[in-house]
Amino acid sequence: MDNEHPNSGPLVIDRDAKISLTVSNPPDPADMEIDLFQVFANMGKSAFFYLWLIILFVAIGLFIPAASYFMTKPPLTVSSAVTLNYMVQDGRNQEQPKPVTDLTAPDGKPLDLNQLTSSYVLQNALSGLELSVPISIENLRSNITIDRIPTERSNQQMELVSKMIADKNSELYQQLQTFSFTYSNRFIVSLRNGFGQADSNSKVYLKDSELPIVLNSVISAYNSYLVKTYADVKLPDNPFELITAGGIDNLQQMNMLNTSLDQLYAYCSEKPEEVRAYRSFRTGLSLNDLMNAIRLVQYSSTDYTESMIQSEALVENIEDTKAYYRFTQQDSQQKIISLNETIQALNDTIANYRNEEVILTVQGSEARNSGRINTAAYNDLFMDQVDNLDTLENLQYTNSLAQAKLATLEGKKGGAVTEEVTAEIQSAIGHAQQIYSEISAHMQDLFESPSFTTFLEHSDAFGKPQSFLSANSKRLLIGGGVGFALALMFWFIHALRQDIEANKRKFAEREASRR
Amino acid sequence: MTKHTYIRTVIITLILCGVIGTGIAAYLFFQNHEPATATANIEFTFDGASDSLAPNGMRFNPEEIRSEANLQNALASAGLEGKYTPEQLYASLTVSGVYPEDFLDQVKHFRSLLDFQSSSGNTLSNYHPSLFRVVLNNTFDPAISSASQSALLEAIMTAYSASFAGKAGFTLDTAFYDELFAGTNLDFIQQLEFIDREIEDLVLYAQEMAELSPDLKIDGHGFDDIALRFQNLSGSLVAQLKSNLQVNALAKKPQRLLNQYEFTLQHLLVQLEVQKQHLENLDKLIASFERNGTIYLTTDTSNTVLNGNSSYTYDMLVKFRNEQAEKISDTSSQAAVYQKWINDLSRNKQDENSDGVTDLPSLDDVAEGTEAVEGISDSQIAAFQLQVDAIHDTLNQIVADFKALLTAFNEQNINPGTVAVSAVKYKAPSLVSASFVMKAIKTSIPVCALGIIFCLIILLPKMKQRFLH
Repeated sequence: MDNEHPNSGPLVIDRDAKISLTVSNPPDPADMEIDLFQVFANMGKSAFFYLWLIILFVAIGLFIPAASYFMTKPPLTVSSAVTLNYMVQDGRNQEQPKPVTDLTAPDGKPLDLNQLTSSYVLQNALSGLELSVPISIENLRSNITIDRIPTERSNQQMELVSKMIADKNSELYQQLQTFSFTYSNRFIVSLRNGFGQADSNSKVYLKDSELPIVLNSVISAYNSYLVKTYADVKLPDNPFELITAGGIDNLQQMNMLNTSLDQLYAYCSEKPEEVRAYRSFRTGLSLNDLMNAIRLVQYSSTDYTESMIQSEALVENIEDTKAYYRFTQQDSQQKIISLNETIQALNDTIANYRNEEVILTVQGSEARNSGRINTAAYNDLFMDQVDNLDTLENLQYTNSLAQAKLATLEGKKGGAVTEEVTAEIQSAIGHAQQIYSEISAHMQDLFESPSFTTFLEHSDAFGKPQSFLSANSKRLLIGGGVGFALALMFWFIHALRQDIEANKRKFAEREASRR
Repeated sequence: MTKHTYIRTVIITLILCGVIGTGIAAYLFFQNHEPATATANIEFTFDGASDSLAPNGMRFNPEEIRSEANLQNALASAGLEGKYTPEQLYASLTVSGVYPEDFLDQVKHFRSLLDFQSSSGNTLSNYHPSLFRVVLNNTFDPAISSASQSALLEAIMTAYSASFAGKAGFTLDTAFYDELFAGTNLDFIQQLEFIDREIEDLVLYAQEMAELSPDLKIDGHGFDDIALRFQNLSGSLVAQLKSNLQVNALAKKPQRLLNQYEFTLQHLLVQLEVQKQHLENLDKLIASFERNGTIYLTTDTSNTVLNGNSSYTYDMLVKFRNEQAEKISDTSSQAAVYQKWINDLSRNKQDENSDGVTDLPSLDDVAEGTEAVEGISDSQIAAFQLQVDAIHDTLNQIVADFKALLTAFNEQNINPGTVAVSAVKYKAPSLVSASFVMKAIKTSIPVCALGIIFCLIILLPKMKQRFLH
């Protein structure tokens, strides 16, 4: 503004005079301009300090998420895939056992996976383990989870059902509802670190390296439980000690010996073919070979000796022997009578049994049809009768044989029991015992072999603590970024403030000069 | 404060923090340290290893490394029996199969029906590891040296390898037959029967081996040749001598043999009678079975089958009947054979039918007994015994060749190449170990970070004073 006031008296305006007026506003602080170049120039001036500050803020920004991670670090979880691997019996059906394909126990019933966390299994798992901190069975149980694996077919059905629900395809959905959901013979067992009450702050933690050991131990203990519960590890009974006990006549001794060898043979023949075919790593013999050996010993040793004793009646007291056969005959006869009554009763039941009648009608029509189907109880009656007939056959054999032997001994007085006869009897018993020992040792080897002691296989325990960087990269990035941004903001504000203050100073100076 | 002073302060603070961090790390490391470990790998590469099957076809499980027997053997071979117990080592030893890293994901994986691109299913559906890691943690003796711990693990692995070689291969020990044979005073025909049964078992064994390893040969001879030699022995020398003895009723003690045949025949006849009765009962039972058909209920949306398991039960009954009929046939044929032998041995052999077919006698006839022909002379006995012994010698020769082939099979399948044990690696916690360095770094970094922040904060006023004013 340019005001000229040469005189201080009243303003006199000449006729031809010209008034020249220049209007000048007073300076307004709101009109002050911010010069960005100046701001950046200001920032440059304090760069050293604010770089220092950026480092500080970034460091704090990185430290806070890192510290919070260490304070609230998620506990490690390790997992192992378990695969069942045994043969499943098919109930009453006399078919060969089949390899397990789902969660069925060796006896054909559903497998109880809850036994994996039973006190028995967990107690066995923890015994012998030297852990850095003791953990209780209850705490261990609450940290174990079991995930069953559906079969591929079940998974695909689930997928289809989900899709059909989404598509509102009710007809197909209804059809799919009839499908059963099945699981494979695999499941995943997981163990989480941090043992204690869920809401408790005082949890105990095992070393990360100990978790896989505990998990492996739990699965191994479950395997032992399955072996103990389901493995048929019964060794044959040893009746031969009884035969040599004394006080038994020669013929009875031989008779018992033959019966015992028959029992030993039956023990072997009941085993599945794969067990009978196993060749011992000590001898190369299979159970089939040993069964042949039983028959061979019966043929060459026991029958040979018994036939001699019987034909020549080489017994100390022939009347005692006859009495024994008579008793055997009468006893079996009594049982036959009783069993025949049972068989007759069952036959009557079968004859009077009415199977289920199914009546078929069609809605809205008077047409009516009917048919019969067998009930399970009816079928079982026949199977029971087969069992009865088998028992009857055995009893009749015992009875008839005793009768035949009695007939052979009739009229005979009994010969002298020489040392030669006694030695031959002992030799026959010795052979039978030898076979028994070989079969026992053979079965013992088999029962201790992995084929019998491995009901399941399991993978290594997987699960490593996530590396610090991969677990926190996002949070570190955000923390560092926020710190950086904050410091940058302070820096900029500081530079801006400097610029504003400089402007203010200029304004004040101008104002002063104007006045 | 000069520039140098700042730098010095920062460096001193950082060094101090590093030292404190390392100190804390060292304290935590030794307070809660992992035990010293000796590690070895064992890898099985023979055929079947990927199915957990040993060369003999049986399942194997390297967990047996931890078995009491193996640990006992290892301690004995290392001369440490009195010092450590198998129980101590059992708790310190871990055996784990090496699985692919994504094994769990593979287990959970399934082929989606909605993903038409997906063609591969679960490739690890039946995965069995063939590489196993064995770790011996030193939790049993703080004073044991690294060399001793490594040597102990080596002894454990060696004991297992030896035991595996012994159990996973095939063997043949005929001592069992020899003992049974030696302890009896058998007649010639029985001795030959004994040899025949032994040969029968051995032929089966050789044929199994021929199927398992058809290409294995020694001097051009394989398992199938062994089976053939056994069969030839049985079909020629044994059969010839047997027929000679039986047709000519030659025996050391004919009467005893006759007694035995009659005794056995008596049993067979009793059995036959009972079996026939059982068959009749089964026939009646089958006849009384009401076999109902199957009803199908079909609608637009469902199909229900009602069959009451009738066919299955009927089939089972028929199966039992067939088995019984087979038993009768078997018993009957055995009885006929014994009757033939009795006829051969007895004076009644002249009464045979001309076509050689014999009718089975009644039980009463058998009970009466028959008289045998006279025995042969001592010189004849010696001559026959020589022939039997010669057969036995031939049998032993073939058995020896069979054993040699089995040994070759075992060596081919179980050797250091197929059961490979790696060198033992020892790792102990120390201040120069990688685990300590990692732990120190992990502990020092947060402490140093704190130190840096501390430095930055304390130097902040000075910096402000210097650079802002």
